[in-house]
Amino acid sequence: MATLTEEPAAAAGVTAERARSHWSRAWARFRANRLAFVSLIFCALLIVTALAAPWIAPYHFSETDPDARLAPLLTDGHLLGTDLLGRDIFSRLVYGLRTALFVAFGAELASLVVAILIGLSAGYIGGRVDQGLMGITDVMYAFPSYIFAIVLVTVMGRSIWAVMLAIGISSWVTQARLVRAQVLTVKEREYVEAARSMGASGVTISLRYILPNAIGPLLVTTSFAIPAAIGAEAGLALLGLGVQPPTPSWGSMISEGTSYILAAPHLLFLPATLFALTLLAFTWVGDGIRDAFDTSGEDR
Amino acid sequence: MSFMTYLGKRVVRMVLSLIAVSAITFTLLQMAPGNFADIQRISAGAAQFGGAGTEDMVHAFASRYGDDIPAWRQYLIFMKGAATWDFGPSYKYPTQDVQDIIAQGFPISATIALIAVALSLMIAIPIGVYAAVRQNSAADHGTMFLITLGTALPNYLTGVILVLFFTLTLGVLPSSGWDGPQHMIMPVLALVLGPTAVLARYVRSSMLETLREEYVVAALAKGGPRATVITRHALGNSLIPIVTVLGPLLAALMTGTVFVEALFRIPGLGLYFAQAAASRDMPLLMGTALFFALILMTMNLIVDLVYGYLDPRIRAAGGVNRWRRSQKNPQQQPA
Amino acid sequence: MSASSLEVEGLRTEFVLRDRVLRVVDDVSFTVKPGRALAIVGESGSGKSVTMRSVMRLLPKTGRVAGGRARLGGTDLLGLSERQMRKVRGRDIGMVFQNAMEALNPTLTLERQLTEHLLWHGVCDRAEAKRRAIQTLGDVGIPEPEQRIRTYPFQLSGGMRQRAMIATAMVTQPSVLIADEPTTAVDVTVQRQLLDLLAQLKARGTGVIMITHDLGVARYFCDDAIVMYAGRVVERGPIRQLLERPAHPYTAGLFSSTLEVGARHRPLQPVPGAPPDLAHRPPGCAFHPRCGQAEQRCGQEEQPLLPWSEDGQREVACWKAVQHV
Ligand SMILES: Nc1ncnc2c1ncn2[C@@H]1O[C@H](COP(=O)(O)OP(=O)(O)OP(=O)(O)O)[C@@H](O)[C@H]1O
Ligand code: SF4
Ligand SMILES: [Mg+2]
Repeated sequence: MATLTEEPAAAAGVTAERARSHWSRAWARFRANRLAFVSLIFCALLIVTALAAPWIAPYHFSETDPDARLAPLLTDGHLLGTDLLGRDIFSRLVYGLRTALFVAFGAELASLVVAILIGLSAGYIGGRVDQGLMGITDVMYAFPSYIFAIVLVTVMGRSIWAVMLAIGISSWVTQARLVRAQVLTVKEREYVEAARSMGASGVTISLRYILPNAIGPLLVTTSFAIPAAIGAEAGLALLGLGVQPPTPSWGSMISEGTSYILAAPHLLFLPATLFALTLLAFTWVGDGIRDAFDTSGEDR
Repeated sequence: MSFMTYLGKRVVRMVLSLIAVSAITFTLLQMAPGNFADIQRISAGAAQFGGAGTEDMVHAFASRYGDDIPAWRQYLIFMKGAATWDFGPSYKYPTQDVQDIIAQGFPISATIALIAVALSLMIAIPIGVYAAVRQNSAADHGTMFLITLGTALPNYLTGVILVLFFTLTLGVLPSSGWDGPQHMIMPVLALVLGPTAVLARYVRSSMLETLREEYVVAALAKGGPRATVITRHALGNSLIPIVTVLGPLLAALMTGTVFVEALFRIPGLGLYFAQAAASRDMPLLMGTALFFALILMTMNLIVDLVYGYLDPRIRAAGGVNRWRRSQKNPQQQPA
Repeated sequence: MSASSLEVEGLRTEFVLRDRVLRVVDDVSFTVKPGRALAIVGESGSGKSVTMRSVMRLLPKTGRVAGGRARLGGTDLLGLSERQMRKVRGRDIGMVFQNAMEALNPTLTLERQLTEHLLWHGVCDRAEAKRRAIQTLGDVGIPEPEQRIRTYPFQLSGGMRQRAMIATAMVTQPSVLIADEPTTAVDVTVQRQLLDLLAQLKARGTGVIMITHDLGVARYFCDDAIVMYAGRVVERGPIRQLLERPAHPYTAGLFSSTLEVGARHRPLQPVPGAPPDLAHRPPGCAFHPRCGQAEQRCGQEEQPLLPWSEDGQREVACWKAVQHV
């Protein structure tokens, strides 16, 4: 009996060890990719800035300066100028970053949770449940995701939470399918069989054996979903469907900027540039993560 | 499975999906807080719109769908209208029926999207093939960089960059409106980058895969000139799977027009959809959302049919899905 | 095509990898005379296919021929320009691949695949090419060739497909035919028929190189053989003599295991142990870590191919074997 109970534990130990070296190798490969590494540092800076926004931004995002409207760059007290209402652009950019990252990470967290729940139950329970859940994802797949997100914000209103949820709910499908596929491949492995024979419950098996295997691919898709969600947040704001003003969003800043393009081009130029850099940095990190986990060696 | 059975099944599935999509949309919008009249009053001020006109419209909606009847019956009434292509009048544009607005806006959006697709194909295929043939060269790395740009930057951001460059720096090309070809250039260019990136990535990897196929080596071993072998043996076979991404791509483009049209103020379907959402114009929102879903599904169906036609193996098997299934699990194929 | 011999001499092929250069074919020589068949045998990874691809100059981008000659009727193929080489491929040297399912283009008809090289080489016009293609399909035993020529490869059975593959190589009547495991993917009856087909070709004066794992096939069809190990030839000679009295311990192991009943289709795995990783080729005789007769000397001295029989027809790369003559 003693030996028997040890078996799954030992199997788990082996997988854990293998997983660890797998991760450290992936990390080594990631670090060797200079573009990805620099992008990662940039992204980390962005995240810190977003978290520390109240301390970094010299003004509150809605604070107006009636004496300085549409102030140009390098104005005294407003390094990057002001907008039509005399609000400090630098501060609004920083808070806009906060909005973008908060919505994007929140949305991806939400979509990840939904995807893991649905994917795990569909794959693990199988049968009717699987068919039903996959039926739902099929319908979702037929729904253009932007259109769905727009319908959702219309329904839920324009609070930052609503925008986050709308983006999250319209983007979980791919990941749910991925989790399900992972579950199906891992389910039949020996150590899972062993654990099951020891009477481990479905939840335990899912959490201890199946999920760790799905983390690599999930990390890759999530790392690409983050910049997509940042883009979606700004896109909704551009349409006037994003977070309720005066909370700043790069999308609404861009939208406002297009109206004063000749009078104050920096209103458009600054958010667009920062936005583009942010998206590229996150995408390069995603590229790096994908290449780090990709052992197929396409470029041999 | 004969072609007609296959087609029939696909159409039935499509109709079912559309019903599901419409039911979801309708239910969600039923739960939406605030109606058109509220929104108008808030955003434009009661004075301008005068309560009466908007209330009338909501009443008109109520009389069309029946305010006092349960939601599921309202939905049935809506679907009955939808089936005969009659969505009733819009709130925001009360003199027009939703289907007329669709008929007006769709050609504009479709024009932009189709030109964008055609352009992306014309750019993506050559550069994808070239990058694959010259794998790991500077040209290949350049293409990969372009692909990253295209996937990372949303079309409206590309649009903004174009505006900054053409309108602001060069002083050419108008930044908004829809009146002649000069208004088309920037929106189309803004839309092109994304699909070009997606397509070029597919062409490149599909081509790399095909170039490794034994039949390519076999053709070279028969004395085929490299260029001929690449175009006749490799390119054709690499492009067949490309067809499968064209459907989702066209759909993405159609929805992508929402942003580009908003940015450039082009009166296409996308702009109407965005405005409908912003102003809670329920009939217009329902109509356009459903229409977008219809377009997406039709595109996917057409693409599957074309795919089946292009690949003789599938033509012979008589159905794309059967072929796909057999591709995915070769061991499960009946002997 | 006038019959001419293919003479390969001292061929060396390398792959340039990111951090090192792998020598995959090392000093390989052989000759194929018109109307004769040469078997190349050896375990998986011993360099058989790479040797043939070097001769055809169809190596992947990372591969390069680092030395040697490959003369066809007096011309060194390795010195030809790419344009001249193209005229040799498919016209003077035909190639049959192991798996016709993969080597025939799935989306082109047989007609296209049987005629295109006739047109590329300007052998004849399209109508004549089609006539020859139908003729050749008939020759390889495909019934109703006029109809079959319009079909796609996937519409044929495995055996038919392999015949069609051979037909594409035969249609230009090359002087040398290279067949890389042409019968591995088909069942025994079809295998026999394909071999008879190749035998007819041989009788008409074509020189055939057959790469094979199957010594039964080699004995049935080939005249001479070379045995490759880790990119080098370790033994050469007439196939029957080789089978009767293998001189190299590796050859002996190879033959004893595959001649067991029912072992025909088993991949060659003669001796316990695995072939060496070419990046870490053992010093001296590369076979010594697996050789039952190895002595200290084996791990220290390179083993050149030395004559083993009086008539010079047989050579072996093993000092012990040479000593025992
Ligand atoms: N593109 C390549 N890059 C690096 N090494 C290669 C490449 N192609 C082949 N090799 C190496 O060259 C060696 C010989 O390969 P080759 O294909 O000639 O073997 P083979 O004798 O034909 O084996 P098999 O019986 O399996 O066909 C192998 O060790 C292989 O790993
Ligand atoms: S040289 Fe030595 S190791 Fe090599 S085959 Fe001969 S006896 Fe064996
Ligand atoms: Mg081989």
